[in-house]
Amino acid sequence: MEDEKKTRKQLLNELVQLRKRVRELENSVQGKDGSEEALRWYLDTQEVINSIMELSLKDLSLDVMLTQAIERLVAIHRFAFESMGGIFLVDDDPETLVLKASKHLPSSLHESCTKIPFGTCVCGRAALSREIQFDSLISDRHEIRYDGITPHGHYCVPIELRGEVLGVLLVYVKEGHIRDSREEEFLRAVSHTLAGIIYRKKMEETLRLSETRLAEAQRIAHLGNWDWDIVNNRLWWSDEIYRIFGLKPREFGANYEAFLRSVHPDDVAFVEEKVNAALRDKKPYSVSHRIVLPDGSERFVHGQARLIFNKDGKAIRMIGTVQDITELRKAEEALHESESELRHLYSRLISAQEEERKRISMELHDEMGQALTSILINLSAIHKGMASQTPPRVKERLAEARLQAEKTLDQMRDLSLRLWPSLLDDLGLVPALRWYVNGYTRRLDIEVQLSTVGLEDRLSPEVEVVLYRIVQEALTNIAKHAGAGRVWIRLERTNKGVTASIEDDGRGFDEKKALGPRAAEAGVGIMGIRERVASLGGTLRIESSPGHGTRLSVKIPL
Amino acid sequence: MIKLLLAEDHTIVRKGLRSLLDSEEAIEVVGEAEDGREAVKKVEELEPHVVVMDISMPGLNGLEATRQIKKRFPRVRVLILSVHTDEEHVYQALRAGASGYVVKKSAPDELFSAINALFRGDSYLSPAISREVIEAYIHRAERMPKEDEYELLTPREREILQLIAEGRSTRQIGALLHISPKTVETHRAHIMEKLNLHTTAELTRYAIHKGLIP
Repeated sequence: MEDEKKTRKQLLNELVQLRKRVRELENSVQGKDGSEEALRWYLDTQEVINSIMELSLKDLSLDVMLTQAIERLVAIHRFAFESMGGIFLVDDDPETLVLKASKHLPSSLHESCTKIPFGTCVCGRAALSREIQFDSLISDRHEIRYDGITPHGHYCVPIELRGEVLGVLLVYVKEGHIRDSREEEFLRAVSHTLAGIIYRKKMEETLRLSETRLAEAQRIAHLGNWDWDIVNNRLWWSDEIYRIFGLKPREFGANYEAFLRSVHPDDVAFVEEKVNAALRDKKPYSVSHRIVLPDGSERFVHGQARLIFNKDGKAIRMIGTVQDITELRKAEEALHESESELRHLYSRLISAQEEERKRISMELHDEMGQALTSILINLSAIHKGMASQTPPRVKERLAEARLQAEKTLDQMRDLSLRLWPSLLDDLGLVPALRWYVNGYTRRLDIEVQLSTVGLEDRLSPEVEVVLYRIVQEALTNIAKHAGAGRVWIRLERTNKGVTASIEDDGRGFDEKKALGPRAAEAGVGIMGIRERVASLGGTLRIESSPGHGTRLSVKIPL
Repeated sequence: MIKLLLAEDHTIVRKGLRSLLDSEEAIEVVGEAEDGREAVKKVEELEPHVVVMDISMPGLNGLEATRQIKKRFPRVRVLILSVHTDEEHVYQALRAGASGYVVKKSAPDELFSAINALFRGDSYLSPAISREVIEAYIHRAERMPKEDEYELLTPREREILQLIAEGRSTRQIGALLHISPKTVETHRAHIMEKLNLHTTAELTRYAIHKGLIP
């Protein structure tokens, strides 16, 4: 067997050498009529290359285009090509050839040669070396063998562009065929043509893919982009904008005025002003406005754009985006509404609580308190009017009843004051605060400096009670959390309103981390205060930093 | 005979007091009023010597009524009769022009002596209140000596005083403390007011004196 093989190889080699010599002889003979032959060669090969280039102008996918190209190539009769061949491309995997198109290649080859690493087999060698590889027979370099492989020789031509290997062109020749420089030249020309086409097709596909992705992204985000050629007043819209505006490209005038026709009539002046301002100040444009769709429905959009200037600094283009923010706006509005409803409810709850406390306190004071007072008075009258011979036991019982009534009255008064500081009604804010502050200092040993300016006249009961509760809440918080030794309270009436500030020398807290345990505890009370201040049209501010105490300031307009 | 007007909005208490006072021979209750406004009107009509006045009353309260009565009829003496024993109530009552203050629960024992004292031209305070008022006064007095003007300044005001004394501008201080220049101005005004100083130079001298800056 071995010997047989060798003999066969030797024979083939000899055949090749013989053919070479024949070719040389032919060439020397044809050389006499070389110019005519050269012209015909040129025309034939050019025809094939032209037809391949024509393919690239058709709207074909890359694979179809390559298949048709290889068909046209192997059909050429001028050369001794077998009508078999294929085109490999480097696809997703680097340094790997993938069979993309083939003509008359056996199906078993399709299986074996689907993927060929650079450097493997003859095609892989062509890709790695970037040189045309020629074998006149199935040599040792032909590492990949497939079922039903028939004796053949082949050209493997690298397809490269700007130093990058895009693929390999494979053309079969008869076994024992001699490498021909004109064939090589032709195949190189075809390979260059293919390189250009493949490159362009790949670019187109990349572009198409990114356009598809962009359109997809625009659809998901309800965001479109536009480009306004200011000089010629031509406005280009992406598909998504047409969708947002409910228009078809044919229905749209594609200029600035056509856009303004879609803008809600009440917003037109505003939008125009914004556009003009952007052009005038050479600043980016950003605006939210309403649009009206052909079906009469309204939507909210947000537009953003920047200007492009020519070298004289004149704005010639405006490119931007427009986003449908209707749903966002609706959600925001709903949130805002429910938030303000919650605030409203909360402040109603607080005032209801305050009123209830006041009512109970008054009732305690007025009804029960007065009844007890009257009992006391009557007990005294009885005591006075008692005859001297009344038994001491009765006298003692009477004294005890008086004492109990007195104690009950005291307790009731304390309870009543805790519920509602009646001093506010009777004496006004400043004495009530002074009373509260004195009690606070006595109970907790925290010094409080209370200063008031311009508060000689009474304020409205609503403002007085809010200010009183603010001080009370702030002092309670200070006692609970601040570890303060001193507190400064200042209330001032100005021509604009009343300001109050409560400052302590305690440990303070980090405003940025204001969601600490202290905030959680103090939060509800402060939230209540904030709501009550807001209901009077005022503002509340808290400043603090660790180790620097806390300042709460309130402004209420009058 | 002491002519007396009784101003008390609670009928049951008013009746109790009335019966208590009626038993006293030296006193003649010439009228009753259910609120402050009526009390003022009746003083004008009935010219009593003494008015026994509750504080919490609808419409015009007892303190306001006292103020008006004292303004128009300075000779009329007002005795406040109240459930409140705190210093603030007493202080405000005396400021309004009342000459006496009796706590309701002690009324049966003290009312006559209080009315008598007022009629004679003296003042009267329930012993229960006197104790409370004096305690409050002592408490305040104990704190007094410690208090120099510097103690009146809040920590933030002290911070700003030092920055002013160091020669920083309002804008710089604002930027440093993350507050507006206007707020700095307000703080500066408060500092000057509390220390009774009027110029930046005075503030600086004060800061040096206090050892805030070298």
